Amino acid sequence: MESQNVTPEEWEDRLIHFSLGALEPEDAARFEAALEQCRERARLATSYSQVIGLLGTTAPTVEPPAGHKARLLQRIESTPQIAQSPAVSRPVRLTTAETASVTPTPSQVIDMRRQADAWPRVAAAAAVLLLVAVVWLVATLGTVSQQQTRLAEFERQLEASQAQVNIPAGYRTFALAPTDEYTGVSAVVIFNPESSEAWLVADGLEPLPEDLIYELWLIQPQGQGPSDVGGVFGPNDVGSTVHRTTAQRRIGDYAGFAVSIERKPGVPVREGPIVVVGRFEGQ
Amino acid sequence: MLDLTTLTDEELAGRVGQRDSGALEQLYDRYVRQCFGLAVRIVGDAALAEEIVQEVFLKLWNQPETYTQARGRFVSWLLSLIHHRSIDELRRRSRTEVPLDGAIPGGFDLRADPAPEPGDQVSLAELREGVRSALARLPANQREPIELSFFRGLTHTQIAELLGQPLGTVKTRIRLGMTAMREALKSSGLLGD
Repeated sequence: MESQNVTPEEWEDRLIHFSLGALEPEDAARFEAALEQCRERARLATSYSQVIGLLGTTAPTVEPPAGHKARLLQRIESTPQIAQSPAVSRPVRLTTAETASVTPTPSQVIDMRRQADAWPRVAAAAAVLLLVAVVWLVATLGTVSQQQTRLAEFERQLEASQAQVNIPAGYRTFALAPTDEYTGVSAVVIFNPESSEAWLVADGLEPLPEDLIYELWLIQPQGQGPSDVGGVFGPNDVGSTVHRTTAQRRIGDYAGFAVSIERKPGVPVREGPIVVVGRFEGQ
Repeated sequence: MLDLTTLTDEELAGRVGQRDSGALEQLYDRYVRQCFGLAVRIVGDAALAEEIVQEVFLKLWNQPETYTQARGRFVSWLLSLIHHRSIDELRRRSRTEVPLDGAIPGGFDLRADPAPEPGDQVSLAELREGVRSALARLPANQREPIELSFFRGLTHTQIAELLGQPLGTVKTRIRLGMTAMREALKSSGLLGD
């Protein structure tokens, strides 16, 4: 979190660099957390974000290739209409992830890109789902038959939770399983298969040494190459995190998610141990 | 039948929220060339720029609530999304090499438009001219680090190393330049504050 002793001038200085994207990733993440808590400062941030947008008008205009508009309209037509009631999506089986190689991307944390209206619902959904995931993960230490029973119970509770917190239409939830060395970690991913954005909500994350950081991976389907990096993040004081990522393409095109521990500021190819993982199918 | 070409950007964005694909088409026709041009300018890859522009417009369609008039002019919001998405891609693909001689190719284009491009909105040309005018008034040592960050996604640490200047100097010059830009754009009524 940002220091309480930052002067207004120092804060505005960091805001300018944050808006420009010139802060280091960890600093940008901390700054955004502080930004959330101050509406007045957020208004100033909006102002500087506008400056950034207007700077974009200095780039020469270029006609996009033929067919660009047609492809966009086709994608729009294939996007389902927003339903009046929230969709309830079921989690799928969890399996062990495979090794992946990726290139890094910073997580998207700038206020102008946030889904201001959906965020409170997403955050509320994440908190409930995480609690259910913790209960479920503890319960799966039993026998196969007990696990099956508990999985069914988890799915029932998940559906009930999703209905209660009104998850936006089209969004799904997916619980990641901890590996043997990180059984204290719980994690869920909330995403819309048709969009490229996803939120990782995790708890039980241990603080890391100064030179290490948690890194999210988006696993490719079998035979389609290395995983994509979903950004780096660190836990808060109580071991939790909510990390948003924007993928290179639709989340539904991927096969799963994983979190590992890597060298700062993140690595293009996974080197460190996997903390949580899950592969989904049939997207 | 309503003529969408007569609506403001903000009105069109509101209609996108009502699932009016014609409104999205109108916004696309108005700004795709500027969006694509900005994305290409940053990532240097036409195919990647195509996808970035598609994703941003698709995001507008899928999540229209992300834009409100409280966020200022629609075009500045749209271009800021293009910029941020492009910089994310640039960093992800590690395309931040700069010439060893310190030259900064392709900074802000401060030349006046000889004439608006066909299909350009008059308001976009006015915005462009206002921004260029404000940039031209900045000292070069303030404009350069902003260009490096805006177009190349360099952090202030990287900029300081490239320019051979102290980090504090770079941070101060970026701050002074951006503050001046904000004040100039606000004074000329180009910010939607």
